[in-house]
Amino acid sequence: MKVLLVDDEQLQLLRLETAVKKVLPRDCEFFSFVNPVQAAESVAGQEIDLAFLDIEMPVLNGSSWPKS
Amino acid sequence: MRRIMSNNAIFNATVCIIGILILGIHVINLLVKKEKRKDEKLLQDFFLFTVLHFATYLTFIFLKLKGIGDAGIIAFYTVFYIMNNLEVFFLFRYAHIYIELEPKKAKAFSVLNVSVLVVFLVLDLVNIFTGIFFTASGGEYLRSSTMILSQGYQFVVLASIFILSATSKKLTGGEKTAFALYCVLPLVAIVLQNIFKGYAIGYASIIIAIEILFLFLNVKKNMILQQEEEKNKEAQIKIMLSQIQPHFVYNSLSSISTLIPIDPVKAQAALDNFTEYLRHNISSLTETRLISFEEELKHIESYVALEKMRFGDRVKVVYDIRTTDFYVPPLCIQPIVENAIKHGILKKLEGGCLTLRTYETADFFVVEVLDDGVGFCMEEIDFKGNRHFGINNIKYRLEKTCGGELTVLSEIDKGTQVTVRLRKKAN
Repeated sequence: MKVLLVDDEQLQLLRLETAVKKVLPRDCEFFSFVNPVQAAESVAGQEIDLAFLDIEMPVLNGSSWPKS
Repeated sequence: MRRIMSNNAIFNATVCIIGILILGIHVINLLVKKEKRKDEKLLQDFFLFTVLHFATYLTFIFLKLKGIGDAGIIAFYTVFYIMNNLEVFFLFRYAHIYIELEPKKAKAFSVLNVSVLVVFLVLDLVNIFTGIFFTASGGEYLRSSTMILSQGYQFVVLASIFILSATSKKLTGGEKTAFALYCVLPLVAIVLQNIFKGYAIGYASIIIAIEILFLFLNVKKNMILQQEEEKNKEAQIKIMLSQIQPHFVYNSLSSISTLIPIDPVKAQAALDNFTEYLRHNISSLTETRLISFEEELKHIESYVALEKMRFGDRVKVVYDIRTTDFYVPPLCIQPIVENAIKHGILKKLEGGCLTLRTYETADFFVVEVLDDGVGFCMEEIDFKGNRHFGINNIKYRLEKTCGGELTVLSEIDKGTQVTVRLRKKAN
């Protein structure tokens, strides 16, 4: 399972990662980013099963994220 | 004949004494008042002249009983005429400050006021030699047929006040009525004066008219100012509440909590900053006076440090503080910095740089908040709407509490510049 985590606050991202890792199976693959544009570029073309996106971020925020 | 004379004298003396007592109390009250508004200072001058006028008249009544001769009568009445004109001069200055004329109009009327005053003062002196207003003969004061001309200045001023107050958009109905009554009373007095010759009805009408001015206008103005102060307080509480944003509080606290195991020293510093930030916000709830810029700067620094903890290198701040020697209303500059970071810098992926600059010019202390963030289109933003409540609130409080002005300049993709200018005289 591929999990995407994006938050423009480094510490919030860390916190989110710790919390999510606790409840998800160990074999999950995590992609964490503070830069939403970088995140979108690097996961383009990959199948993401679960995404945690911050609502308020520059350029790309949680609600305007490309669905594909 | 002699009995009527003394009746006049008793009536006139009583009017004078009442006038001196009532107006004297107002003058003393105004004199001891520490922080006087401009309109109160002018009211004080106006009252003072009126009291002097009454006092001179009272002296005259008693001197006249002993007989002071024609020359004495002319001298005294000349003084009365001059005083009357000066009184009217101060009355108009008071009225035009109270009505709050536009600067251009105010200047035109001031020039008119001074020039007509000068003309009439000269005429009062010319009268001594020509008797155009009055003469004296056999120990009695005699009005000339052209005496009515001496009231010209008063008519010009009263008519101007009447028209200016009636057409003013700033005055309330009550204030307009008070001014109108004040202007009409002297006319009533002139009519009565012709019926009861020898009685100083004009003086009695001055007392009534001045009481109207004082009670309706000055008391009303004080009330309005008090309401304004309350409004100020409310505005400050509003911004204080809006500044403590749950989002900011929660995120700061959870970031600090995350930081504790990673870097306890940094976490401790962050918690200190958070305490300082909160302390300043909450103390501004009760503190309505101006605070030193140094204090506001501390608040800004603690806020900036927290944002740096949250967003890292994306938030860069340059402090270019060349003066801290001035005062600002609490929570005025920090929200501007917050706006610049939140809506300017953090909207950019790579973040940006904010410069906080202060300096002084000959007349102003200037605070500039510049950012190279996303900027916005000046045409699309109207600062009247609720969305820009923050900036409006700051603008309002700056104007009301220290005569400061705030200007915003912005360009898309270039950034935003907010400038606050505080007049040195008011600081």
